[in-house]
Amino acid sequence: MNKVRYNFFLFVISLALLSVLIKAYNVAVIKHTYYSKLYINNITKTIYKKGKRGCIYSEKNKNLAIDYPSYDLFVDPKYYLENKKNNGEDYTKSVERFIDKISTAVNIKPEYIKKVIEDNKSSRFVLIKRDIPPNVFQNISESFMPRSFGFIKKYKRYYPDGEYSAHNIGFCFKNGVGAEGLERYYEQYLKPEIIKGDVPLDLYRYRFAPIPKNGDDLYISINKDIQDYVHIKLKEAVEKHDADGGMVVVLNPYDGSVVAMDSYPFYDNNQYRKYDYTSIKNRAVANVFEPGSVFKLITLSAALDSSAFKENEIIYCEGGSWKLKNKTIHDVHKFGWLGFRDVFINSSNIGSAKIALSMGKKLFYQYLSKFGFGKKTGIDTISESKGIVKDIFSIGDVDLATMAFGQGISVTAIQLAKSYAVIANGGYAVRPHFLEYIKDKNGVVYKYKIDKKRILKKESVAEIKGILEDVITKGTGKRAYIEGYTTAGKTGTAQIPKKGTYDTKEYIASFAGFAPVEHPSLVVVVSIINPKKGGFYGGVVAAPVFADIMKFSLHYYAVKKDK
Amino acid sequence: MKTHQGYELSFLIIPYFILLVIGIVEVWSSSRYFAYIHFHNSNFFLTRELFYAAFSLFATMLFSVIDYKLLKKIVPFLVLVSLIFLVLIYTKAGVSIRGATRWIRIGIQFEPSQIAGLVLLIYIADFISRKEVYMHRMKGIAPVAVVVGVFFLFIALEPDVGTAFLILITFLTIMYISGYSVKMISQLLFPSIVVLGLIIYTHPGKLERLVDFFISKKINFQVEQSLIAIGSGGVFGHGIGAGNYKNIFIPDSYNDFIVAGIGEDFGFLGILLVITLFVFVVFSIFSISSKCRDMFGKVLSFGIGVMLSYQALMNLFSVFNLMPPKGITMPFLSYGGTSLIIQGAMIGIVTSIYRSLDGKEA
Repeated sequence: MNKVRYNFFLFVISLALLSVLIKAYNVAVIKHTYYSKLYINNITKTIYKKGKRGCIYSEKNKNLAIDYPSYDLFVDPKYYLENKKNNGEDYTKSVERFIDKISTAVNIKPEYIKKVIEDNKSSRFVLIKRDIPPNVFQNISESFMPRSFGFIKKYKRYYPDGEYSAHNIGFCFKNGVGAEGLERYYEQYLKPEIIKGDVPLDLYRYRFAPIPKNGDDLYISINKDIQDYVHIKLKEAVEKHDADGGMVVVLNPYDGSVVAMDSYPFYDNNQYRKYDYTSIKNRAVANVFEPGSVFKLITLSAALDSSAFKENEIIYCEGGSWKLKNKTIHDVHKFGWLGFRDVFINSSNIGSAKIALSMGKKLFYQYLSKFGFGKKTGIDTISESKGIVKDIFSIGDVDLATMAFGQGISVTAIQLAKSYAVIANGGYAVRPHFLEYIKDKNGVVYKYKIDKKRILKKESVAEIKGILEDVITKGTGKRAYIEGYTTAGKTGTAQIPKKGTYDTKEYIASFAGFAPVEHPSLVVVVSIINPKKGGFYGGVVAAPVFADIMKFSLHYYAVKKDK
Repeated sequence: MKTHQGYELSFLIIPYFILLVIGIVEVWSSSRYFAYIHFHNSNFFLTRELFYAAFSLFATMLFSVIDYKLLKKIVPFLVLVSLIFLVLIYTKAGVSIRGATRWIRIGIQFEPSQIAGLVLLIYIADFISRKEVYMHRMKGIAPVAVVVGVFFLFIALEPDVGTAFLILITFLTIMYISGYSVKMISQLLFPSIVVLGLIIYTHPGKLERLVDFFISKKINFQVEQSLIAIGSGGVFGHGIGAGNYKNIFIPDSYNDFIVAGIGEDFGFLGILLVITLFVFVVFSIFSISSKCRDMFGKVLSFGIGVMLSYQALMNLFSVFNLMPPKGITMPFLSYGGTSLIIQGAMIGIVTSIYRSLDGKEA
């Protein structure tokens, strides 16, 4: 063997191996970051995954708003045509069968699908049909499905209760963002989180999308059965009296939870686009109106609680008409001297005005503030109004006198319900609310904290309750009488002011009350706007609705009869 | 008889064994996706590779026990059998995979070109040990040129240009070191290059690879992906079986491009280790060769060393984009039954040669 050649050979071999090592070092160590970037670019893909919006449940865990899966069918025309060319007769036949099947299932013509494919030959994605329901989807996808067709899964909002609780629940825009009611107010909890993930291919070339985070579920205090009943009764009353609108609030007086709330005109939140905003508006919280005599409760409470008046005092009611400066105040019935209780039982405007005037505006406003008029109640829904209370420095005696019987002050139905709840629960102002708790998949994440504050003395509350009970047994609210239960309440009939005068014959008929008197279960406020037929007094129009709703609810909760 | 004292055998056998183990791990790590897609069993290649490795070790033991001089006596028989195998490729027994017919199935499926490589080494060693006197005459080299030429043609026409080229340069290197004149070697080299050129020219895919590499400087997809896999591994790699990139993006990642998988899983240190082990194996073989006083053993062991080192270099050069990609496997590491068993036999023959050393320097 040639020693020189042999050594030369070994030298060449060593040199070659060394060059490999240098190259390896260059690639793996020096250019490591460069290649790592390419590596990540090739193997990972950023995926966004959106989950389901949270559901809304009623008091007895019944669904009021759900997200259900819905599917969009698409086709990849380019892939379809390529496959058709490359595959045999059998394949083409089975694809045709599939097209026939989907066209019958989703009710489109097979020619339409073929035309779509022919029209978009080079396209990779064409939607054929939107919003295919899950059962149809299952039917189609269970059998043979060519790879050129596919479904996109998404979620759609549905409200099983429809127009029955539409004003409370609200609805979502098409993009899934809450637009009205609780859907909007609790948007930040209900909305599903969009999870972003850089997902690498796994060993088997699969890519698992990140697990989406669903929105939190809302559990609210609305009782679906009572809500439905309220809805039916309100509709009946509005139709019977040919009214323009109406509001009903059913409130649990102890914790302020809204058991039912409805307003007329109605709308169906599953088809919200068919309605304009006057129907969509939740009038129970958004409408402000002059309450009329139901507001005398505030005058009464202020007078008794501040000890400005005693129950046994008497007031002269001027025989039905009293001129105060440039304003004449009328009573429906003519009264002479009336006892303090009778002023309210018979709903005398003049009597109430005199009581307020002798208290003075400072004291009266103190109680307005305690009851929360001119302020939002803080109920957890959108578009709440705070009502209209004139500034204390700009009012004179006339303003104070009219305010005492509910004129010249504007309130919302929920504010009235809150005030009657104060009497019902023994003197506490509670914040009305829908929410009970919010749950995510691990359990309760937020529980509503009851906001409760004493504003009236216990003794004065007992006296007021007695007077309100007499309104029904002896006074204007006889039609609110409920068999077997003691009931307390107050009627109200207010003229709707137009252009600053009360000349029109338009009224708001209201009734607010609670039952049973000793331990009230519920507060119900009913207001019917502009009844044109069959009377306009609160005692005639609103009181029977109150009685129906109250009776149903008391029976529903199996409240023990106390009479 | 056994009087030689040296470390060559440990430096040969232990690295060989470690390389075999690394190969098994990497075949498993790199083939899971492909195995799952095609055989619905991600360990399909692993079980086979374990089986082949066992046979390879058996071949090592068998050939280390047998006296290598026995091979010298059956050279015509070996040449004839392996030539028949090569011819069978062109009959019905030939098995075609991805456009190249490199395997035959007669009861079992194997790759005749791998066997031909070893048989040619034995034949050349026998030839050189007998015909030393005619070294400087062209007439003297004619028989070996014809035999190698026939083998070369059959392999090159499969087409397996990589293996044919490997056999060619191994053969020429052995002649060069053995002392044949450069003029004679180049007289053999040119016709072979022309044959290879024609084969490449008639296969557009192969031509394109050459053009891409030398002229348009375009990097081959497989090579590019393998560089990304190695580059992402860094110094320490992703860990055993943790790199999925090779699985998905590198075709043949368990075969020709197994080094890319090693780079991804074990990083630069893995590649360094593999090359170091290889150097131990090859240089132990050269050391044994230089100590051998029997001309047949000397040339045979040297030829084995040359063939293994050329094969490894061609593979590494392909993977690292230093040479146009060639379908050449990495010895001891790549998946493949015939090659592993033949390489086991080579180590066994070298061991047998070592056992015959008498302690005196040649």
